[in-house]
Amino acid sequence: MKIMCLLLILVSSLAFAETHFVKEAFTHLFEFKSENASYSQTLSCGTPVEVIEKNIGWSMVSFNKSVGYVGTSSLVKNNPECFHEKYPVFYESLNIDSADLYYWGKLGGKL
Amino acid sequence: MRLVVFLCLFISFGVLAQQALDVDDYIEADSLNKELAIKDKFKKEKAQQIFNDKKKRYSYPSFQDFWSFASEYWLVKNVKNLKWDQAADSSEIKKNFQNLLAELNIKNIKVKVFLFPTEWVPHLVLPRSKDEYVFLVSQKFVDITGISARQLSYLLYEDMIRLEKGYLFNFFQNDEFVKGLGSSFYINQKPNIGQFEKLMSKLNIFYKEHGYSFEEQYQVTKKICEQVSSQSQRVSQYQKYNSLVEKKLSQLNIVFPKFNALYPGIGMKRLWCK
Repeated sequence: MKIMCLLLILVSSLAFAETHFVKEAFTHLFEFKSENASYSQTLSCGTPVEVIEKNIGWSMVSFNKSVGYVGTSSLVKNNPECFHEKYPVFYESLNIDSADLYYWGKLGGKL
Repeated sequence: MRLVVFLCLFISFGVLAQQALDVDDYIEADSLNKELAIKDKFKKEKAQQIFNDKKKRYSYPSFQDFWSFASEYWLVKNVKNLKWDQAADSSEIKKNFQNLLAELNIKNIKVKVFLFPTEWVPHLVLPRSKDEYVFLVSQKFVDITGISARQLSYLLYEDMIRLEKGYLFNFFQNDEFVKGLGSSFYINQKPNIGQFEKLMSKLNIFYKEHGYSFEEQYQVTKKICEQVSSQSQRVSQYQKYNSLVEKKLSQLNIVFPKFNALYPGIGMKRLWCK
């Protein structure tokens, strides 16, 4: 019964969700309201997410069927001008590996 | 008979040529030439636009875009030195700093403070987009000096002024990569990443060894003293902060071997303020 109620709340929240965009270069989709929490995905700048609940500090969002938390300051209403889109060739030439992406996602949660 | 055929052919070619001329005349008469010229111009402009868009993809970032990105890149690449991912809660420092800014009538500033657990550098500020600052302060520096969150707000404000005055950017004014910011590398098809990496190393040198000059330190101190001069409580707080750092200077120089070179004139700051 509880699960049903939670599901109903989640579904109704999604129905009223508003699309926002990630403005940081990268941020993780954290499982809890902490940049030290585990994460399901790494979102890059310009990624559209559905905001379920917006609060000071952290917002609950859904992306690609996953629900999690990102820093509220990482989100903007309008599609931002992202570095990797503005300077694609320069950006692609940089030496950014998976370990860097892991920390960059954490940094995005902290900024 | 042959002559007749030849004449017929000659006449028909003549008629065709006349008709061709007539078509040109018609085009001209109907202003179709102008229309064709407009279409041609449009085509050329579109081709130029496509070329420009393509060329734009091959450009170095602008000065502002670059420094904001470079700060994050530098932080990511130096996570092992700074361990900012393990930073302690800095909300009290941030709150005090924002109070100071509000009192000085400085508004709409976005601040992030990392109280990091290593002794790699004492403290620094990184440029972000306009009116946005990322401060990093070593927990060890705070422990040695024993400065409070309120006193720390003066340290952050000093760092903010250092950045505002462009001391960091001045250090890079002759850097080859910085000189090329905003330009295109379309001809070479790939950017000079070697120069970029060199700049990143230079950033380490700046924060770890070079720091600020005696004159720059004087200018920063003078500015703060002038700004708080009307509030005696603020003056004494700033002087207290200066005195705490001065007292622990020898210890700071042991933990951060280049401290004196990074922030010269510590012993003079209280005098400059008088």
